[in-house]
Amino acid sequence: MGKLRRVIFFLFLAVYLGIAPFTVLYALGYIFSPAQQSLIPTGLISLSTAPENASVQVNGKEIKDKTPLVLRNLKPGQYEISLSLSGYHPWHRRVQVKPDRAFRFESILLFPLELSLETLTDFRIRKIWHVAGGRYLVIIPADASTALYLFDLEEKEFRLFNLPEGYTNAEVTKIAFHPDGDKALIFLTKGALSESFFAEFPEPVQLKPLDRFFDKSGIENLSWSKIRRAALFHLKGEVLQRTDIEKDRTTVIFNQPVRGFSVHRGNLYVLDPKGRFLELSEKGKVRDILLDDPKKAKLIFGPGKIDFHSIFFIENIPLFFVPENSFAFFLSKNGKLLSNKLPFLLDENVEEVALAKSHPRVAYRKGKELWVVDFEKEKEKTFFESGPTPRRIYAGLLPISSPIWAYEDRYLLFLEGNHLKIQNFEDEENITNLLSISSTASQFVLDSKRGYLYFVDPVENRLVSTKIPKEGIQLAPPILTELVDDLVGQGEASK
Amino acid sequence: MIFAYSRRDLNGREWWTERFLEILPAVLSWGLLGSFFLLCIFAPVPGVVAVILFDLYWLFRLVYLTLFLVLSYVILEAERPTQWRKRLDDLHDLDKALERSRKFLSEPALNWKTYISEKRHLVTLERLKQRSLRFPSPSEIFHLIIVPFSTESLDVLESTLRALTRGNYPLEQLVVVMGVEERVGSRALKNANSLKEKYGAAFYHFEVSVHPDDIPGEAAVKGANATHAAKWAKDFFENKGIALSNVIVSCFDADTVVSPEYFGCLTYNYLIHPKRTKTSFQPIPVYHNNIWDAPSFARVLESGSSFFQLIEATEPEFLVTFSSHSMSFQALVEIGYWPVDIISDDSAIFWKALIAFEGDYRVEPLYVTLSMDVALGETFWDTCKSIYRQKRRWAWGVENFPIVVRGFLTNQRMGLFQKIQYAFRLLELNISWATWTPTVLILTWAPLLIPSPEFTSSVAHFNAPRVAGVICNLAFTSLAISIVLSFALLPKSPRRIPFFHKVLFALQWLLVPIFATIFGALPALDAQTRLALGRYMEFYVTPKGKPKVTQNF
Repeated sequence: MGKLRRVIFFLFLAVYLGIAPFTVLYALGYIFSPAQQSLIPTGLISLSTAPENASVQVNGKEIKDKTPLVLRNLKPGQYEISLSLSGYHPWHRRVQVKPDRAFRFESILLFPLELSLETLTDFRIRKIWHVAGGRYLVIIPADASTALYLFDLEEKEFRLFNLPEGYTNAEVTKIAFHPDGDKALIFLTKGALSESFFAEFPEPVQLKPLDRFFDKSGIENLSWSKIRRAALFHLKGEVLQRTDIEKDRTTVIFNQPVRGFSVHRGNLYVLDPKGRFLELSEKGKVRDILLDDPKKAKLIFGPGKIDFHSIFFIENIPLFFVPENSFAFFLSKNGKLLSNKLPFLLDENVEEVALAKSHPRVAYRKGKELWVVDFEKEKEKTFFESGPTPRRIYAGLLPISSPIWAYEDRYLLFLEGNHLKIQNFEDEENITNLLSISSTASQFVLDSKRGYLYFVDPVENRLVSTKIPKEGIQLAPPILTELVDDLVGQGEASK
Repeated sequence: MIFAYSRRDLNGREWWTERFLEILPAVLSWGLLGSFFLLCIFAPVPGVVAVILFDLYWLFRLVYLTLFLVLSYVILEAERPTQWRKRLDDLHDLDKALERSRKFLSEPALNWKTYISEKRHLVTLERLKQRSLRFPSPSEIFHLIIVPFSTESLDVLESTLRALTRGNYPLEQLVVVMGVEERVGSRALKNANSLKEKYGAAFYHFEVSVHPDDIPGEAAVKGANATHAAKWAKDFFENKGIALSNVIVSCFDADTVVSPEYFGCLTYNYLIHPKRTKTSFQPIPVYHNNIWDAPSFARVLESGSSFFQLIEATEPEFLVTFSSHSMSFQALVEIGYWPVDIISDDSAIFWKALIAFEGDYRVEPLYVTLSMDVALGETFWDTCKSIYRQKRRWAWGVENFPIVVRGFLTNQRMGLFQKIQYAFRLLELNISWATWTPTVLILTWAPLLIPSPEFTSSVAHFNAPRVAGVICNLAFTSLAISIVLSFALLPKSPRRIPFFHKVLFALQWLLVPIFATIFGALPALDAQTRLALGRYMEFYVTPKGKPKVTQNF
């Protein structure tokens, strides 16, 4: 038996040594080319769609399998990929396959050609307000009214709440929703009258007047407390205050002028004119000095007073061995978009910013253009390489507005004029025109959690809803921007 | 050659060598796992290549081992009905036996089992005839059975003795020594005496040996107890005028239930062996005593342990003793008995003999089974803990590595190649034990779980799981064979097992990589880490369940 075992051992060893190199080469994407009589490296394309089962054409030839699928053993070269599914917008892409490279298209949302619409109101609408992720939608009727409507996205029912005395047919100038979506400050204007009120949903029986707390110039920047139930931070002049609505009290939090502030994870962040960027507790105690260098601050932020009305934060995705890394963005009144990462100044003439929820990336609009800065890509760059590069992902014919991130922060919904469009931020070839909405009430509300889109229709000006794919349908990791750069050309992507 | 098979009382250089060798297995195991893991994180493509080569290596190894498992099982199955006493009778007159055997084999209606068994016998007879080997008469052979125990219950011990009395071998050639540990109290002695009263008269001699607690240089290990009993036995046999070369000693765990044919088979193999006094005899251990009371995952695990021994049996050149086994009593006396401060006395005795006889010692497989208990606890979790501890104790056999290598280093007469072969196999066995399932089960998929942007856009990211999947599927075909064999090896259940339960039991084999990680790799890593840190294990008595089935083959 021992001899037999040795013979078989050496036989197995020989087979192992023969098979192992080929197995490894196959895993690395090498195939034997009879034409070249040698092993050649290949690339692949991975495709998945929502919904699945889309037909795939490669260079005009139909593939037997449907999505999701992986096209393997592709020799380097250019491939035309088309996806089609009956009743849905088609998708096309030209891909330059490179050796050993995998092109992942794993988040292709196919939108229906025809969206079935449901009209929800029998009255005309002037405007709708909503906080992302919130449960309620505030509807302002177009016609003379003594009340506003509250639409419950969960229950799909309307509630009425009366306007305060003297504010019948008043103009709603701003609604500052609490991030939970169940509280808001409502700013009403009627003629010379202008006042702010506090409302709690869903039963806003009484609107609590708050005007005495607010300086009219300070209402641009309001930040709700993350710790206190109904407290918010705001500026009165250049002074940062906290108003506790339930206690009916205002407290000065930071006894020095500030250029801008923000609340993030229970901390206050303030930028002061001396060029200090501080992290404070909600009570105003300094927890950390993030920047204390007047020269550097002047270089980054320039001189100025209360000008950074928006400071945003997004968290990097924490990995177990990578320390958490925060990204801060500063949007100035004159449209400068700055970041705490090199090269600090991201862009100018920025009109509106949309932050991704769970990825370090930001979208912003400039007139007819939509731009994206993706910090996730920057992680790969070495220390001395240039910082984030804004990339224009769409240039329209009409002004662009209301960009919002959706579907795991891979898609951007935005309005071009009154056309609602959706685009994968890494895919500039495929943009889907979803529908047209009212030009007067150019608002839409995406309830991606439940899979509904709400808007005011352009003909009747009524509230309409349509079903769209729900959030969470795609679980694949994001497409690498590197690949997109490969596709669109490095030069084109840069400013 | 005199070599102190112990880690105690070492001088400076020996101590450093011992410590270095104690640390080595853990460093290699953790280093292998760590380097695979780090490679997968920081260099995923080379990591994938390494993991594929490792997976493929294990596939080949698994197929290779399965092949020999089947071969070994076929022999075991063929020898199952063998009546070894009749074979012993054949040794009295070889010419007559050869003629009978040849005639028997020429009969047309032989089934495959009988044919294989008889053919093996015939080959042995021809070899004996050809070499004119001299051997004593079977009636001159005495069996010394040492059962060292501590807190095992009377039920467990009685089942061991009952099995001895039911054997198909003359009991007047059996000497039984119950090795009682003094330190565990009077209950153990009481149990031993009550067994002596009940069974003592059946054997040539029945002795209760009380192992004192205060012998200098000893640790609280089974080997010390067995050695004390063996020293008594040496005097006993010498006083009786029985040559030690005619005594075969079997050191059994307290729960060992021998097959009725065990001593017949052992005597036969002892007599026909040209170097019988420099050989150990290793039966196939099965865990059938309480197998039907054990949770099915434990059945899967213990079947795996039996399979390991079946596979090892096909390579006697490198077979190492395990658990209950037998050897020449003369050899045991010559090498100075079992190590008295080593937990893994079962394998340590082989290494001690190998070094003492300067490489001229080996283990011969016996195609007969010994049945033991599956480690059981009061609850499911207790059972899990017991099994984990038992496996850790088995894995603690790694403690032999530094001592064996030190023994090899001091031994000048043993061949270098033989030393390297043995040392490498001992080390490789322990490293494989600790690393292969975590590597195959976890690290195969690690590159996919680590979101390295460079790797996720490589072809390897997509192809590697496909290759790993094919390797795993092929590996599962080997597993399917194991499932079939595990059912064939199981004893008949005392109660009817519903078909659904049998299916569940079969399906649990699919979880072998997980079981093998939790109850194989982890205990092995645990044991190696303890050894590396110098946290030496004390003896742990595995709780055994009350035996329900004593059927064996």
